[in-house]
Amino acid sequence: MEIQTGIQIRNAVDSDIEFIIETIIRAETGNGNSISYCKLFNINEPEFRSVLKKILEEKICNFEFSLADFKVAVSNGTSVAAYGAWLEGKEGISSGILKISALKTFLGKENIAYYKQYAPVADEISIRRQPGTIQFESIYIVEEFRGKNIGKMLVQA
Amino acid sequence: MQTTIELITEIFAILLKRPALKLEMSDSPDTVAGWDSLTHPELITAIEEKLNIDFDFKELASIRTIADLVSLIELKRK
Repeated sequence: MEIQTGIQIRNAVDSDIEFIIETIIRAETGNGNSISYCKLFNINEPEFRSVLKKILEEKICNFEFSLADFKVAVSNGTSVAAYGAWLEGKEGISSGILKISALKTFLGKENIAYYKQYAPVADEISIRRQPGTIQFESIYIVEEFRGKNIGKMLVQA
Repeated sequence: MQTTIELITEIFAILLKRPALKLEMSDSPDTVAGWDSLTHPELITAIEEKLNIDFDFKELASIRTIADLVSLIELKRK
């Protein structure tokens, strides 16, 4: 889908996985450096990136780390922005359970045990997602492409 | 001999601290108080350890109800 000169919006594909990982992490950290998942599961950033890669490669849909639920903006063959959105509970399972199932699968048991102590805090700050509603989660635009309405284009595409 | 649903019920009852819990095949996180994204990993891990099995992500992503969990366990134990 060609929206504006030089910018193309398309669904994410396998070759976008590294950029989607970057999107998730940049969206997660915002202007800071802290990745909450690293703190919650006692892992470092490379470990989190590795886990995200494995999860995205599984191609399970309708949750935060689903490759198929990302759209990518491309300029001259280079990915410059991406965002993820899904329909909550579309397949009869909540995105929260899908996400923790994914993390449980690819993290060690000790990481899941470590998370247990923070579970009540995670519960307090977690978003209550209503089944049947569209969930917009991670969005990231490469710095030099900001201010060009690419975010709006992605969401509207 | 304990049936699969009885075994799951026992584990859920202990971990969810609901000794009188009685699970039905149609039950899901929507109908079982306490079964949510916070308790799910602990419940699944307890089942895996008790039965010496492992679920992969695709299998976990297929669990909507207790019936799905029972079917999955029985398939793994064959």
